[in-house]
Amino acid sequence: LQRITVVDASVGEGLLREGVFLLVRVVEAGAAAILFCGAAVGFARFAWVALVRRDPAEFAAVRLDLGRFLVLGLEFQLAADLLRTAVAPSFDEIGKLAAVVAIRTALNFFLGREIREERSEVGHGEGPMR
Amino acid sequence: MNALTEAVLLVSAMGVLGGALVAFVARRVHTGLVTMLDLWTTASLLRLPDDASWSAIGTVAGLVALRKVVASVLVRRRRNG
Repeated sequence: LQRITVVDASVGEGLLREGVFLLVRVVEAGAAAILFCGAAVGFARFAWVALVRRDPAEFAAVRLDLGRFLVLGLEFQLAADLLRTAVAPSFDEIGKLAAVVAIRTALNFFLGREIREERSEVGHGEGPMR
Repeated sequence: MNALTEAVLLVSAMGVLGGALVAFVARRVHTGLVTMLDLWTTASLLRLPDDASWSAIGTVAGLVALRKVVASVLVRRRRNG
């Protein structure tokens, strides 16, 4: 009976690991899609502004929108890291998670400040990043 | 080469091309440099799930720091005219 209980526990843990691994893959794919779409849209808009509109003042707004995609993609990557560390985290994984959190926080802070500065200089009417 | 590596290379190339285009039209090297660094930061973030090593995390942190420094110089220059 004790052996059956141990086998059941290991099967349950294996299923949990597989479920979490699948979720991590889904969330990471979401992050990659957001980041790639953000880069592609940003590049297309940079090219449009540079080649068609020829107005250098609009570059700042495009750059800040690209920054929003960056922060959103990083949020998804952070969620994937949190999920990964939910099952038997190692000290190395926790350290990497802390580093990604620090990068995300710094990027978010800098982008928020840049948006406020751009708004005051260019009069771009969008709210700051939270 | 997997799809993610190809995407990283493509975004890096977009960074070089976009940066050059912006610098040429704006006639300011710094504006182009910030644009290039933004797209390179995106590329390095794309690479993270595939290669979550300390060196990859260090690359992202370095690019974010460099981007911040160049953006600060850009803002200061614009304020000074």
